[in-house]
Amino acid sequence: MINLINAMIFSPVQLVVIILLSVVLVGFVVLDVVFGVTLRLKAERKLYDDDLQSRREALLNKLEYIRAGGTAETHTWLDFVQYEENEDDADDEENETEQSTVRFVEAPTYDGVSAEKWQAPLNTEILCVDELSPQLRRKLAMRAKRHNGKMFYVRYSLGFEARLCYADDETKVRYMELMDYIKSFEGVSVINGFASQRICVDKNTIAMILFSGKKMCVSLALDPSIYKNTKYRGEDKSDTKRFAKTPMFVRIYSDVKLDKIKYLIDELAKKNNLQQGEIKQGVYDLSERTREEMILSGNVRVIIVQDVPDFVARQILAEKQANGSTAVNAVNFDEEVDDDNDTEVQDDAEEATVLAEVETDAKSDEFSAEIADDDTQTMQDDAAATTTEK
Amino acid sequence: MNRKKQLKKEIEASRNEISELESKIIRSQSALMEAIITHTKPDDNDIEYFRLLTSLIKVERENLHKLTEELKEFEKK
Repeated sequence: MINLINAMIFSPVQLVVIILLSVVLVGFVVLDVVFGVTLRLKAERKLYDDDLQSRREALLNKLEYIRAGGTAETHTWLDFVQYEENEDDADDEENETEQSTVRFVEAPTYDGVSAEKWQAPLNTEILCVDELSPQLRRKLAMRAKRHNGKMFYVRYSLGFEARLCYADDETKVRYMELMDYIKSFEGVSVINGFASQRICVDKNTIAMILFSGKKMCVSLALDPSIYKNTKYRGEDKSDTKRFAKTPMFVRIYSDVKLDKIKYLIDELAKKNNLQQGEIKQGVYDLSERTREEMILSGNVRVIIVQDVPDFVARQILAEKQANGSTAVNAVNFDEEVDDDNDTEVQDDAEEATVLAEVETDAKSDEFSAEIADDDTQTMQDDAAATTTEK
Repeated sequence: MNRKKQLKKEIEASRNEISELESKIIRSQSALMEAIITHTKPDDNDIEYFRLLTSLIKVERENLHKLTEELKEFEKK
C-alpha cells in the first residue's frame, strides 16, 4: 500500500486538493444549471416581435395599476366609435349620394321614465351643442339658436381615412407600401370615398382598400375560385352588392400577406394590360387629428342616438359648475346674422349637410324640416321662434 | 430544426396564455352582462378590466397568428 502511494504521480496532499477543487467546480456547474433553468422558467415571455412585446407590456402595466387601486382611464371620444353591424352591406360608394355628417338612429323614448330609473344608452358620449365651435355647429347643422343648450347621446362612425389615421404604425406602413406599389402602375387612379378607397382604371373599379373593424383589407376584381386552392386564396364576396365588382377579399394582417397581395395586384395588372413603372415612395399625412378636424373634413360622422333628457342635462350642468369648468362657449350669434349673404354657409350646405338622413324616427322629420329652413331664416324669424317656444 | 421546435413551443405557450386570459375575463364580462340586464351603470373598473384583457387577448392572438404563419413557411420548405 505504501509502495502504491509512493508510486502515484501526485502526493496525498495534492490529491486531496485536486479532489476538493473538482467538487467545487462540479458544484459551480450544478448551480449554474439550476440558476439558468430557474431564470428561464421565471423569465417574461417573449412575443414574436418588439411591437407586440411593447403593447403587451403597456397593457400589463395598466392592469397592474388598476389592480393596485388606480382609477380607470378617462375615455376619449374614440371609445365611442360604432363599427357598422354589417359592413358588407355598406352603400355602394360608386353610386353613393352625398351623405350627411349627422345620422339619427331609432331609439326608445324616455317619456314617462323617472329620473331614478333613467339609464343612458350604452357606449355613448354626451355631446353638448354649446361646447362646439361655430364651424362644427354649422357642419352638424346645429347653428340655429334653437339648438342652444341641447345635449345628445352620440356615437361616431369613422371613415376610411379616420380609421387609417388612428390605426397602429404597422398598418400605416403597410398602407403606404401598398399605395406606392399600386401607384407604380400606369393609368391607375385612386378615388377616396368615406368608407374605402377605390382603385380605378378608365373609371372601372379594379380594387378597393377598406377596413373591416380595425383591420385593413383589400378587395380585388379577380375570380376567387381560381386562387381557392393556392396560397393566394381570399374570401369570396361575390354575393355581396358592395363587392360585386371586386369579389376577391383579402385581409392584410402581416407583411407576408402584403407580399401575396402584391402578387395578386400583378395578376390584376396583367388582366387589365397595365404597365408597371418605377415604385416611388409617396408622401402621406397619416397623423392623428382631433375629433373636430375629422368631423369638419368629413372623415367622421356623428350618430345621434338620443336626446339627453332635461333632468340629466341639468345634473350635468350643475356638475360642471361645481367643478368650476370653463363656461360654455358662447355661440357667436353674429355668424347667423348674414345667413343670406354668407357664401361660406352656402358652400357648406352644398358640401355636406343639407338634409339629415331620415330614419323612421319622427324627430328626424322635424329636424330635417328645420335644417331645410335654416339657411334662409333671418334673425327676426329666430327671435319669433324663440318667443313661441317660451 | 431548433427554430421549428422553438416555434411549436411558443405556439403552445401562446395558446395557454389565451386560455388563461379568457378565463380571467369571465368575471368582468359577467359583471357587464349583469349591468345590461338590470339596466344599471357598470363599474368603471369592470369596464377597464374587460377592455384591457380583451386587448391582451388580441395581442396574443396576433402573436399566435404570426408564429403559426412562420411555422407553415418552415413546413413548406
